[in-house]
Amino acid sequence: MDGRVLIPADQFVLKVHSRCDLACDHCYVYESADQSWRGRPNAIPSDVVSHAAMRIAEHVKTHELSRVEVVLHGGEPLLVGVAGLRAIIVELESALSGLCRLDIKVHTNGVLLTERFCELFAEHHVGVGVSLDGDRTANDRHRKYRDGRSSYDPAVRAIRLLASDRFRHVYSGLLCTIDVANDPVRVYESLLELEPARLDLLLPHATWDAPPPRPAGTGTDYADWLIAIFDRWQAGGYPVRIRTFDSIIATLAGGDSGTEALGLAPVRMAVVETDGSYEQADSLKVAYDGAPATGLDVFTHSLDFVLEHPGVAARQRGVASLSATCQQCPVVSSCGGGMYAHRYKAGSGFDNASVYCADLFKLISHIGSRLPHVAQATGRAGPALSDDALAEFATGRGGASAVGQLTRAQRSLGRGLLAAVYEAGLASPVVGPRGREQLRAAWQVLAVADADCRGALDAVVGHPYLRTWAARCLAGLGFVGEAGHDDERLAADLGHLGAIAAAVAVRGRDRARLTVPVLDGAVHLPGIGRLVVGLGSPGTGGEARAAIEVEADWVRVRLGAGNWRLSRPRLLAGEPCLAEACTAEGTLTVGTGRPVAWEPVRMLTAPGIKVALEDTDPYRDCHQRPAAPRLSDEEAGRWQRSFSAAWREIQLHHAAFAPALAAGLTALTPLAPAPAGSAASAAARQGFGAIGVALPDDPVILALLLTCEFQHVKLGGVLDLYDLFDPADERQEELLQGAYAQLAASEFWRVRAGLGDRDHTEAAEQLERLLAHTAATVETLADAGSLTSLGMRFAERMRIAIAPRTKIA
Amino acid sequence: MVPTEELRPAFPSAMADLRDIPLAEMPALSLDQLGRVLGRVLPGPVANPMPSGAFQSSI
Repeated sequence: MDGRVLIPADQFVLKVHSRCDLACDHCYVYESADQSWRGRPNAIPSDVVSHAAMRIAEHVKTHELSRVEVVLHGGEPLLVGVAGLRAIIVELESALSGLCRLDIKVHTNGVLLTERFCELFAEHHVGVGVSLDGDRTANDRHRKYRDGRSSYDPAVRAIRLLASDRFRHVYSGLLCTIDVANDPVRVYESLLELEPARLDLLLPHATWDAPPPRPAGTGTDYADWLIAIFDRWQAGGYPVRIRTFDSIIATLAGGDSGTEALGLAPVRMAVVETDGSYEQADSLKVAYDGAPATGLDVFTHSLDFVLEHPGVAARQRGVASLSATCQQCPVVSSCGGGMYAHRYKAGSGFDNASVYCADLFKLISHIGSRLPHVAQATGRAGPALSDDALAEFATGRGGASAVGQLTRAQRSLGRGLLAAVYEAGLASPVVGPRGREQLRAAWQVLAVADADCRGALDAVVGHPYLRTWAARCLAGLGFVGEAGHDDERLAADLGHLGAIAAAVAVRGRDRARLTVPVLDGAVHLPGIGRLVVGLGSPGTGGEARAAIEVEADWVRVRLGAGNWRLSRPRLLAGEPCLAEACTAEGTLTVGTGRPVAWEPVRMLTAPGIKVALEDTDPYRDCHQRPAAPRLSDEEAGRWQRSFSAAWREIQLHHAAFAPALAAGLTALTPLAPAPAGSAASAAARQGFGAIGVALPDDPVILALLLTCEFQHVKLGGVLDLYDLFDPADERQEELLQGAYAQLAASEFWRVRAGLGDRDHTEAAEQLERLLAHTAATVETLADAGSLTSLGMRFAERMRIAIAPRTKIA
Repeated sequence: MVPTEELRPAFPSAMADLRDIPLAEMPALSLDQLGRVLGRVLPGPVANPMPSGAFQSSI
């Protein structure tokens, strides 16, 4: 090696069959300069599979990889047959079991794909990508059987099978090789009709010696073709992921490309042929005969040898490995010189710009100009705290301004979470066509509200349990199809995006029609309240979705045969509101229909503070103790009296904490009663601004709980922005959170002890105990060795903050 | 107030700022990309990320 650090591979292309049942005239495997396929075994022998699996496992152990991907490729991999593929998959799974996560994909032309293959792939969670070049005309231009017959019908039949509810979760996407003779929009829309999760639009492999056809003569035929699709894709609200566009957008925003065809990310891939030889990138077959060869094989060489091969190393050096032309290009970080093979020219080898250089420049420039906000916003530093705010938090305090900065960061996060759940929902196999349509309708309402009434959107995005909901959805999606996971509940969770949009519409829009799930027996408007209908929760049978129509003065809810209307002004005022039964046309009906009740979110108020008493949100049960059920009016009254008294205590005796609480505490969630004699309270990392409390008898204790729990809220917000410790050391957050809350507790008891009233002795004892404990915890943190430099400074300020508190006020 | 000099810009936030991206433009960011932005604050997988520089060839 030349002194560089070896970059391990995490993607392995395993050629399981070297022949194909089609004879596509644009195939780079058989029709290119490299003809090495002729001397290789048809099907991969079992000893090659076992050695390849062993080499991958060896590589995983050597480099401590947490995840690898294996692509079963060809030729046509399905020619191996169901039993043969099963043996290969099982061999890979067995070799990597317990070592790392293994994702297996298969790329096929689809014509042999049957239910039996799909069942195998579903059983082993193997993602399936199918090659199809567009509509029948486009596809038949190249993708034919040897006798000239079209492959379109069998390929589309296979794709529809994959898109069915039964197999959708293994349908990875479609791969389309571009022919600029085809109409781009027709190609795009015909592929979109087949509901892929992802589209790959591939430039046909070409070199300067064998350039691609350019019938239009513009010099940018391929950019123009792709731009036509990009514009359609953008106008349609990005209905499918398109890897080329995603990669350009990601690199414009400072991230990595998702394809070897773009970007400067080092190559982390190796190819194993059916005879066990290692090859470089498959696409090199278009350069010259023998171009992909390494002279290495699975029987005698570890994968590290492949990664040290000069041809691979050349593609791991980023911009330094590019031609002088590329190095000076303003879009080089997005383009990365294009696909390595496309740079080839006899004489100068790969030291050239891509044969698609003009196309890539035009396409990247176009996308950058059409998405200026994305490129600018994600490319710059995040919503960091001001120096003063960070320093204030480090002392255990933090005023209204500092907390306001955390709140703004959470709004940024909330917007990203909304988008993530929306995209994840569209891509999720548990969401059918109707569900996807409902998600799009919800997103449309949110996007319009963002432009027209940002305040309404901000109010809903700022709700503490929006993040709890999003985290639940996104975590759930990682386990789709796993035994024991409740897909019905996950679909309902994803559908809650409609309820969020409905709440935004009620707050800010004239009209909207949305579909929402019935959760916990209720139709929810997050942050506003819920309509208790008693039926239809996921898993309980009955209608699990309700329709909501927002009008100027009314909000109408339809569930099965039931129709109700609610006064929109009263909803917004948080007033008790009668759900009036009516006909579908809106005429009031008396004495008929299912009894329902509107339960508004009540507000706790005191001078200078207003906090939601959140006992309706379906995602509030995220604290360490179970959330209490909806409070009676009498119980809510007791909460209000206790809250008022607690706030008086804070304002009177602990005023330093009041501004932050008034600025950042947005919800109090009643928890199930604590065991007799003990207090119970909690703040959830995923619920910024909320505190869960089992209401104590003594308002002073409530004041203490609010003060201490809000420490966790603040620190959680800081930790969202900054790494204060090594994330791998899970104890650190617990220790830091504990010490941080104790800072407030010790301050609280120091003040109480200074009051000299009936609890003086108890307060003094509490103070002494807490100070000792806090100091010890801070020392432990500092000594643990896993604090970052910022974490060390943070802990040091906490230590300084403790020192003066040894004196009773 | 504790002096703040030592906490100055050496510590940029790792979270991208999404406040200025119109919600309508947000889905232009792939789930992979959003996952990289949000992954630090969420438990569990946000998506099955595509390896960077991943293999891309049709057959």
